[in-house]
Amino acid sequence: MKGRILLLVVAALMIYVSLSCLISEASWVTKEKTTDSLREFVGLPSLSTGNLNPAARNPGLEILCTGLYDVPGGYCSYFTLGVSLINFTMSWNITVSDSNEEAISESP
Amino acid sequence: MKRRFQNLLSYAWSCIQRYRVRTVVVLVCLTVAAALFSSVSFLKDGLVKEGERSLRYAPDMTVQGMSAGRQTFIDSQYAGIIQTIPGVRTVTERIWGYGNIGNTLLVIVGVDLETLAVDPAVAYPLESGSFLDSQHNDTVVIGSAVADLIGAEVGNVLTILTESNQARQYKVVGIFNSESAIYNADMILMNKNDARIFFDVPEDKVTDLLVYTKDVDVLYYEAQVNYIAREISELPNVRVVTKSVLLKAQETTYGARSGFFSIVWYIVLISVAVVAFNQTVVVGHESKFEVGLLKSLGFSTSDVIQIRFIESMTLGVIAGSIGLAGGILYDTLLNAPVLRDFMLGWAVLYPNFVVPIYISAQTIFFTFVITTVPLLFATVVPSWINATVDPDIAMRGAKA
Repeated sequence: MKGRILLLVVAALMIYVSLSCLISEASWVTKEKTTDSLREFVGLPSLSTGNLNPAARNPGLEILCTGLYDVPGGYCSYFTLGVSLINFTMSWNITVSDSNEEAISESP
Repeated sequence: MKRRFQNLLSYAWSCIQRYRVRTVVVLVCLTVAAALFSSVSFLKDGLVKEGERSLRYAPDMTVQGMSAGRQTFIDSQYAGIIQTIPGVRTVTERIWGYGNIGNTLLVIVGVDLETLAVDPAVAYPLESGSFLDSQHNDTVVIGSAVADLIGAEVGNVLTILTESNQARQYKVVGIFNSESAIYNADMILMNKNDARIFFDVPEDKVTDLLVYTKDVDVLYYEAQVNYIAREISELPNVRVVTKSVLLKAQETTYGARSGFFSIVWYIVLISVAVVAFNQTVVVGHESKFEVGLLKSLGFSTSDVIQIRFIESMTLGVIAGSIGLAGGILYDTLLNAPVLRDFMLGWAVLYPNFVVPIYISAQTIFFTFVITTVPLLFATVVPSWINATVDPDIAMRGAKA
């Protein structure tokens, strides 16, 4: 009896894994067929995950920035091996205001 | 035949239940290894896929200016020269750089709205507002993380201090949606001329030139890119980065050679090796007597090996299934906490997006290989050695 229950659980897990795989494959195929208007327009090769890191923020590597190419989002000149080159509090140099020029948020 | 297999299966199952501690240890170790390996692999594959998608829209070549071996602005007059090279379809100028709001760094990208016509029929990934328009200067479209950070909405005016401490005002005309946040969460998109003023870039310079080649047969594509790249590289103070180089760099960054992935891979290998070693030493000794007894009751060497094979396969498949299901749930439902930070790194302005996951059949197969093959070697080989020994000697040896 116990064995049968375990068998059912394992079968259910395997079905879940297979279905997840099928759904994932299908979603990527659909994604790749769809045109990405913004990426096409900007020609932006970097993911925003690549920010603040000398190697697309991967602690083990220093490839993109140190060796090859700073792409938008690479932040190559701002960080060295994941350590920020700015370690003091900088001024909040932006003000957001509505269309009547009334400030919504200002520099603290 | 079927009955015989059912008996062997039943005996193997009773072994799994009898050696309860061993079963639990093996299952826990292999499940953790499978979950860790699969979740990192799904995450890594998703990032590589997303990177490949980005590169599909990247220019065939990016031309940068060089000075003393360092990247610098490039003369915009080179655009005209490059345009005359056979095989070149378009050359676009781009001005981009980094800006900071307090200690938070942002990417500011200026696009050439005169060369790249904005198609009003195209649906840009916007949460609210509209896209940039060549008729209106000093307008920006911002990423969702930027909007959240500064509390901006469509219609608001941003007054930003530039690098040269000049206050510049931009009207927010649109905010990108969270679905596209993976590549624009930290981005402020504006007209090229606005970016030129913001970064104080001289009139005759740009950050880089994007070169798009003419459509040719796949067979000739590489030859065409190589020819154009060679021609461009003859210009003084330039460096040409081709799309294929970017793709390789991206694959390496997130891919199989990435530091974190390698570390996880080593952990998985070591844990599996420890489990396998434990099996060989402890169970190998315990099963000596059992094998001798089975053989004296009439079991053949092949029967003994089959029992161990079924036992190991059952444990491996159970551990693999639980581990894989755990890995999928961890990545999809929980959005991969902790691992996500390791794979994506550090950030001040952390884009709050759903991590791209790619659950490939290949990863599922490898996970099952990890959970079954080492265990098979660690159990089947010792039982085969035991089974070839005379039953009497095997039982005496085990008792001793």
